[in-house]
Amino acid sequence: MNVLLSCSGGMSSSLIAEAIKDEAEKNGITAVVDATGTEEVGDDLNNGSYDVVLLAPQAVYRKDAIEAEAKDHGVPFIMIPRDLYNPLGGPKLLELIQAELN
Amino acid sequence: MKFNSDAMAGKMASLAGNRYLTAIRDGMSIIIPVSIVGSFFTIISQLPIEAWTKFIAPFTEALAVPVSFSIGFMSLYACYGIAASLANTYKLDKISSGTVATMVYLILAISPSTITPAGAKATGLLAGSAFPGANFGAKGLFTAMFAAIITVEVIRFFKERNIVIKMPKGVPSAVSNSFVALIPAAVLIIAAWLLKEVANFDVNAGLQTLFTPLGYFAKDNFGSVVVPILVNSVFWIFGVHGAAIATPIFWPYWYPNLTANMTAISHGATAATVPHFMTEQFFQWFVYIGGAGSTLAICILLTFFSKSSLGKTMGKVTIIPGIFNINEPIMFGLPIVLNPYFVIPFILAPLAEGVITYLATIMNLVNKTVALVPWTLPAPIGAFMATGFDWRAIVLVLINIGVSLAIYWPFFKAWDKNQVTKEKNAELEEA
Repeated sequence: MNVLLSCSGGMSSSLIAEAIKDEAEKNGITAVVDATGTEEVGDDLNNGSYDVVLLAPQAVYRKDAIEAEAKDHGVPFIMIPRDLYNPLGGPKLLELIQAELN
Repeated sequence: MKFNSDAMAGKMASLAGNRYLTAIRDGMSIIIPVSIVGSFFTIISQLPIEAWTKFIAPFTEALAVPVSFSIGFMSLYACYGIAASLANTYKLDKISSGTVATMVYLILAISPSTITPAGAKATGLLAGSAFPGANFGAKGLFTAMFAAIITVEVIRFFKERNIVIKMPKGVPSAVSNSFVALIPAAVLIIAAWLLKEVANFDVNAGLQTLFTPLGYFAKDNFGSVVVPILVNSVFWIFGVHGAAIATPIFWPYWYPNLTANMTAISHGATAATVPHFMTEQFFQWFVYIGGAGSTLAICILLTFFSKSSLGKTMGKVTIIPGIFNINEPIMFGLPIVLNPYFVIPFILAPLAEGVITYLATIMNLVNKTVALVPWTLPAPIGAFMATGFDWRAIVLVLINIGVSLAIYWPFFKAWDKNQVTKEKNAELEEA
């Protein structure tokens, strides 16, 4: 599964991406989780193939734009709940992604 | 009355999500890499080693070149970046929008003149066209923003009404896209030219006058320290990235100050004698230690003093990112966002640090910031570099960390105690 995870600048999302990757590995799931900034989401979706787009809670001010961008590419969109956006949120985030994909 | 924090958070998000503010913020970030590189050429002359200072003195003029063409040309880059960002949100062609906007900005902001051969002889300058430099830099920022927004809106207006030149099928989309901008580009460029060269209206000066009231924040005073910190903290406490609103409002004032400092260095000033302390770096290194709200303090407290298991775990996973000024893990993990325990210190700690740094600066106890340094450096190192290698900046950062530890302490204790009780109760229930 290919996940695109966006925050404002792609910095904090790289930490969360690691957490999701670790959790996926533990569960024997092959997962590519790329971190990016809101500005690059459109380009990333054009250039790569992703199964789902996630947006960090502090970038909620870009929700409409990113959601529309995901829709244009036919990719499901998840707004990350505030309480899951931390390095310990890996398991629940993975659950959330799997629920969206199934 | 119940305070509806989610509705409030939503309102702040929509304010921060304003299309133009977002485009300005994202577009202006284009200048960060070049400004950081340019900055190195400023601080390279400030290394506190006498032999080095003597060695480098003859190269002052050469060292000023990358500074002039990075931060000194920021409006040119910003205009392109903002237009491309805004075009992106409308799904318009980024490259042609950015290019047309840049030309509109150049016409509006730059007044070329000609140096005749006779003039060249008299002044020692090269004969030919001359372009005064000031408005390429921070002084032209408002015109750059204005040109970027108006250009993209006009292109969008024409495209929506289908007033575009259509290419026959089979023409590559890159080519046909650039022709979409042709008619609006003609309209925009002619309008800009009429306004500036025929009607002689100085758009750049006009916009600067219009935004004069906000210029208060450019002045090196107490209010310009306190207000941006309050804005940033209030947005973050609701979980919205504070820079989303602060950047587009304050950058146009902070960057001219940094440019003035860097220019002063090029002319032989030192980081102690440059004119301004009010730059974005002031906040980055002395106030937002560990991120907005100066949250490194809470990471430290959790790591070393927490008695609850959540606190200990959170400390462990947030302190490393915190050292590098990434605080989303602690903001959303503990959480600090919308957590009544931490509202007060989250606002108070950075305010106290701002005031201390302000006092230290006006009493000349520490150098002013003269360079843009990557924000992910640990604060003592970043502060040391940004102030032209002033060791006192390191001391000030450590003092500020101490102060923020003291401010967070009682609130942290209260939270931790409550958390311990919660964990005990949960254990009892399980048993």
